[in-house]
Amino acid sequence: MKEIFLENTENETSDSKNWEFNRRNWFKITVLGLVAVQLPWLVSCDDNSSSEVILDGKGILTEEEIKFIFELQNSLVPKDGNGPSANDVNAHNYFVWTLSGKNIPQEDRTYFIEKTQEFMMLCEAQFLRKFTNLSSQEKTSFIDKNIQSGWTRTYISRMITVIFEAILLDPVYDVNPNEIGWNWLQHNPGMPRPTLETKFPEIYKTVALYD
Amino acid sequence: MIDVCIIGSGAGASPVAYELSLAGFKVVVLEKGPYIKTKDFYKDELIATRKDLYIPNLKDESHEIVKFDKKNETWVKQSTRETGSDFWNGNVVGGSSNFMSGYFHRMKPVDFKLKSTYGTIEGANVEDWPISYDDLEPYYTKVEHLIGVSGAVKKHPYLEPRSEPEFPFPPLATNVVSELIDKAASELKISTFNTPRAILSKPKGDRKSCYYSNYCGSYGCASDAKGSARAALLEDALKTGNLTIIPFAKVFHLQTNGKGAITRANYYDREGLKNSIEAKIFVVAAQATETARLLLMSKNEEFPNGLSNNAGQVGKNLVFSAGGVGSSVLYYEDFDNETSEKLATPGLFVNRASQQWYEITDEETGQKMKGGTVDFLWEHANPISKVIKSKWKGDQLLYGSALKKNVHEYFTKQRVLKFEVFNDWLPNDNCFVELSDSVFDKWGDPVGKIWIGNHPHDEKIGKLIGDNTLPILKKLGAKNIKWGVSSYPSVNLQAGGCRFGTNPKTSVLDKNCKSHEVSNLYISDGSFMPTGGSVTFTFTIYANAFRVADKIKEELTLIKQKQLL
Repeated sequence: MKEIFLENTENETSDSKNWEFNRRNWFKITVLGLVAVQLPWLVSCDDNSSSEVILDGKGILTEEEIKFIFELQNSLVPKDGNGPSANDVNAHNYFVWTLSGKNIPQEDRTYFIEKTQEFMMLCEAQFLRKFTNLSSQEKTSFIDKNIQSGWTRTYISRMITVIFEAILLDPVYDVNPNEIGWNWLQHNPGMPRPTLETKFPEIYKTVALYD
Repeated sequence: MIDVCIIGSGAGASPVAYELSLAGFKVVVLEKGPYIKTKDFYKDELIATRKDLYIPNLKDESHEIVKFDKKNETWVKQSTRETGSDFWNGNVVGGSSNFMSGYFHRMKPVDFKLKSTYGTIEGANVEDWPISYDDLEPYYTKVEHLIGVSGAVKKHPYLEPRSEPEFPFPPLATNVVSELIDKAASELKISTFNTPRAILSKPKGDRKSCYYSNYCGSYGCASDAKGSARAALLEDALKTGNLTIIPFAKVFHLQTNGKGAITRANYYDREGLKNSIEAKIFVVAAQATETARLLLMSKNEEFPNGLSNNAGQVGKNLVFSAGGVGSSVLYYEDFDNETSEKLATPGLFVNRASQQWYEITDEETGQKMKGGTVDFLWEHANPISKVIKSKWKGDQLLYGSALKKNVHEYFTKQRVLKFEVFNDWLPNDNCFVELSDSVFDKWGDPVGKIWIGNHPHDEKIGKLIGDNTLPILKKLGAKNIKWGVSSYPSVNLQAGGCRFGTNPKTSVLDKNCKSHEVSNLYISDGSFMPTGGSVTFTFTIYANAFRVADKIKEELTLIKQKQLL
């Protein structure tokens, strides 16, 4: 049985499998992806920034939201001496990339954007402060309070899957640098491995060229 | 005019394309998906299973699934567009055979005569096949050679008769776990044997042997060791110059001439434009549910209920494989160092099966019942799938250091050994395909509406076989053993819907898989099967398609001879 996008345990929708390839869209994604690489460090200097990351005109993440995602991911998969953290594998950049262009169906994109906003608001409601302003212990308390039921459980679960995709996908996707995730889990990748020309979504172009 | 137009390019289609093009006939294959070449198959989990590159986008092409809600005792309809749980297999040249695991068990002689052997079962529409095992045996042998089946024949109570004493290719290399299974089973007086696989253990022509990549099922093969219809048949057929494959060609209607014969296949090309192909003979092999759908869509005055459906049998008696899946954990610390190191070795296959319970005695009635097959296999190597399992501890979602510890242990301290049970999905009135009246694909055609009702007998048999298997796992030292029988169909194992038989009122095809009603229509995928046996279907679909190819060859030769006179 094939798997459902991001995870198969929570009634999530299937991913895009469009045979078409749109070079213009991919160009946008690439540019935005490069910008996003630097965002967490940029926004850390300016909490009041109103800049936004536009995802191919189909959704918006503010810098504040990006910063929240960065900190949430590193609370979910922290640096603790046992394998890489979310930050070590560029999980936040990967997350932005998955939300870009044709990498994700619109309903999944909407889901992550809306639930990110709701999760941030929930934190302010429960702790009267933004998640990014909480201490490590408070972040843990917030996650503990919300992880085991309802939509927050689904959201966290899906975010964990995204982080582990960044830990375990081929480094050709700008994740899992120096195979740090594979080495940690003693995982042997299959051969042949994808290349820049044949990874997702470039493979669409390759197969569409065949007669 | 070309000789044969084939709709579909998988295991049911390609033997026909291969045989006829080698015999000098002009053949055109219309395939809805792209032509992905061997060089573009990579072991990329994102593409193969996370993004599902090899099947259609559900927004473009979906299904409606109708299943019985036991709690509310009512039938519930859901679109796969909404659930995200697709009902597709590989939609590319070569079809889903590109992505199969290649477990190639033959059906047994008894599978061809279930009704006359075991009698009728209330609520099930079981019929004997109009051919016998002996009719198909030469074609099983042909498949073993042409597609390439590796294995070792071992005598057991339900070993089917073979015209050749051994498989043409020796068994694939196996992990030490295979020995553990054999030993445990032997001590329990349960027979096991080497699972035949449609994977080359040594090179064949341009195809290389298996290189044990550890990524087989769900992935295209990078060495062509896997016996996909594309690698094993179509590539050679193309070399004849008699075969044309048209990818991105979605056939939406078969047009007839008012005299019971098809004149052309109408299709949308890659640009979405309507196009058509004329041929002397048409072969439909689009996989069971889609084959029935195409026939039902091909309505006209001559066939107001759909092509070859004046008896109302098209789409009926769809079958899947019943059974279930079990899993167990082999903790390395429970074995000596040498064994645990061998257990951890990736790539090598388990390749063990048992057909100890191919026939079962009902303890309540004392009557014999048809049983099934057990295949043992490793958990798939896909690492992200493993994390999706290991981020949970019971119902508790883990995060932080506890999550990382659990994931690390899942990957490094253990290995998951699984087993799959295959038994008959009895044909019944609640399992069939019709056309949706509310959901349409991107071309505006109604999608298939699939009713997936099963017979309670299937679950009873599956449970018996699974329960009998558990002692093997316990004996060999496995822990955390879990097992469940499923009432949901195996999406990748579809058959029936246009079954063959001698009575045109109760079947769509004659014994040669030619339509009772349409003079130049053959169906060569799994649609013909009245029952599915208790093994995976692909081997039998291949074998029967070669048999059908011989019948078409005879017919075309006769047509040619008449033209010469």
